[in-house]
Amino acid sequence: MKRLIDFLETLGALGAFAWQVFWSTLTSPRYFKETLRMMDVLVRRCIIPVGLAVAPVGAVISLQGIDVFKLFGAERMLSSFLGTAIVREYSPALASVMVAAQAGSSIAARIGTMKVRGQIDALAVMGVDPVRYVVVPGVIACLVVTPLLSVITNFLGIASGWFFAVPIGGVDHGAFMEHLTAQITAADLWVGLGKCALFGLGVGVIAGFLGLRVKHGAASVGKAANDTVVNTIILILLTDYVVSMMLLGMGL
Amino acid sequence: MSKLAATIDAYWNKGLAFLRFAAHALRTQLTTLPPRDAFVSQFVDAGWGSLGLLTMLTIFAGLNLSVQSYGSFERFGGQDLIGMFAGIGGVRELFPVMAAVVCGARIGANLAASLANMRISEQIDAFEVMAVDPMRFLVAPRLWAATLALPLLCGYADFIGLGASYLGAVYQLDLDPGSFLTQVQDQVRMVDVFAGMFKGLLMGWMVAIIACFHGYTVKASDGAEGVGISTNLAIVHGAVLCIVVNLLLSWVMYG
Amino acid sequence: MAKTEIQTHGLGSGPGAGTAGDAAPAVVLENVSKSFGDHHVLRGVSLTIRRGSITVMLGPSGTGKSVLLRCLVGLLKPDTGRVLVFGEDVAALDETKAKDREKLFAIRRRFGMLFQDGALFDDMTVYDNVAFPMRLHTDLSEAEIRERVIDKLHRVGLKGGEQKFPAELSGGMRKRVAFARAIALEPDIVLCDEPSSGLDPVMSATLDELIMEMHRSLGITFIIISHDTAEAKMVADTIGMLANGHLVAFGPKEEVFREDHPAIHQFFARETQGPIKVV
Repeated sequence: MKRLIDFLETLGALGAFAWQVFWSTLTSPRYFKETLRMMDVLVRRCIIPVGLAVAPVGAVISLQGIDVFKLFGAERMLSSFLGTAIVREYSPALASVMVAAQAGSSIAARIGTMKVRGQIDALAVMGVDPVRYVVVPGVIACLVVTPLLSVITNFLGIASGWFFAVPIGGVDHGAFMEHLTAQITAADLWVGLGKCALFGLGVGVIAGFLGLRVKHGAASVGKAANDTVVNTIILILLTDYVVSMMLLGMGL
Repeated sequence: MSKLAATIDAYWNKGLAFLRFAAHALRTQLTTLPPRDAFVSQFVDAGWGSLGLLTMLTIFAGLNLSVQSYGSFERFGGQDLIGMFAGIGGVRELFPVMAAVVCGARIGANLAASLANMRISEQIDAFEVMAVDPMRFLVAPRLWAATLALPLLCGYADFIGLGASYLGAVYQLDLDPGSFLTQVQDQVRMVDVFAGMFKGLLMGWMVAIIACFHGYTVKASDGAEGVGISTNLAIVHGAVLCIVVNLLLSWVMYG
Repeated sequence: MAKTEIQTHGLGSGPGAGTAGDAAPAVVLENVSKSFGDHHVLRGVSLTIRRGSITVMLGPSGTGKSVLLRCLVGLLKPDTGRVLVFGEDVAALDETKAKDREKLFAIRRRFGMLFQDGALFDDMTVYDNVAFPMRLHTDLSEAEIRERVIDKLHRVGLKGGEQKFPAELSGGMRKRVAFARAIALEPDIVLCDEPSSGLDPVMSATLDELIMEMHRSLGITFIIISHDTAEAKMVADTIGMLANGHLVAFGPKEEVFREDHPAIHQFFARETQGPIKVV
């Protein structure tokens, strides 16, 4: 019972925090330079892990899918399945999970370290709102960078899928390319990008929230980094499911 | 150019240090028994502690697998194949990999953070000064715990995930339950579950050794920042490694 | 002065205890140098520490006092020079070799160390922290261990609270528990890393009295690094001074004070000008 109350309390605090972040982005002062710097850092740091994580997924889909599709003499259709699965589902979800793992945990750890060292209090004493200066740039950077990364991973995922389907699996290159583009609609692309933006936003807000909740001691910095990853992965899978159900209901 | 060379040199040295650490840890792990209490508490933390998270995530992943593949298969009239898809894609790949990535991230982050915290507060030095081998008392039980917990979690995820896919297919998409089960029976062998658990075994050890390395080798002078950095590195390197190793293993097993 | 019976520990002495040259001085450093990159922390330090002495090594922060301490127990390896502990060269032992590691561990069993922030194990209670080295290095029954843990805790002035965790203790309490852990095996040498740092003057004086009491009752050799001049005056019989990586003064307390070495004078008189440069 007490745990339930604690959980609801935390959820309430998170809601209030998200509202504070939202309000801070709408009003000045804004720290554009800090925001750009964060974006730069995030792109540099995330691009390799995100690429390394998403590329094998396309390969695995081809590897496992080719036999299944062959059973029905439909290996031409492999590419259309690969295309939609990567663009709509796996690229956004995995890119976001990796952004959570890399960017989310490092943002939470950085803010947590600042808190432990008293730098957050120092900012506040100097009249700089820590939420505006430390949290908001991270949230905006995650929001913008995640979809960008997902565009790259779309190509990577499909390229690795192609590699395992055409040269290794023996599917005809022409058929692969033809069916690949035939099934991907503009809606698929927008759905994928929209999900990424949503997940990125979640990563940034949760990382900021948990980072600022660090109390004292180095151990709690590690815990904040860890909790950020776990909680955002839950959020990503849950949202993914809800969005899929809604889209299915709308017939998209 | 010299900056690039310096970076490469730094990575090279780090890689060598990692190999030395891994060899030392593996030797300790295999030649000495870890202290029982430490192993049990680490195992409970890694296994039991991940169970709630894993259950929730695999339920969503299983449901998602049905719902999402329905959207893709419907376009060429293959919606009746979802049982087969969930069986092959889920049991062979998605569920074990997800268990490895998510539980690996959680376990790895905990290991790195705890060791890094012990390093910066000089607790590891205290072990050394008391003539107690920290490899044996701190690292080995953590390695054993993760190596043994992750395969069990992967096996567990297979069942929960497949169950969720079934529920999603039958109750949300109104597919024929009999056809779903027949397809699963036709396509999934117990061997596939064991293959997933074997992947878990390898990934468990790798995630743990990477996390222990990052935590153990933190500089005491880095303080709280070092704990954060090592946790972050453990999560990212562990997750990427799980996905890449999974591809290689699948390639060998099914390619 | 040194009580030779003590060196057999009384408690399940490990291999090596009491073997290597019992007549040798506790510690001899010969021309020890250590640098980190371009930063030369120790430049050819040589000294001899008698058994049963209390040596306080003074010096400004960042002059390698802590590095010196770590070299003694093989936590760090000097670049050059020899570190003889009871006649055995710790610096020559290669930790990656199993045989050397055994030897190193045998030597370490003769040490206790009081770390700067205690370095108590977070996941163990006060009781388990103090009992830990006994459980690992002796064959004592749990009842005997309990008796000794309580005794050690009493010696450092702690009664009750054995089941508390380190996070629940004040800074002074943590240091005292760490002290009890350091003397748990009644070691020959106890190293203290800045024992008075982070403590109020009353608490640090209490700790200093404890050091002298342990020295009297257990015959332990103490090597203390500190920048607390009051502490040095109170507990030391030998004083050393490290500055810029060099050992600029070393000897019996009275002699060092009588010689009025400029660095010692500057340190004790808290002057900003002198041989010690602020970087």
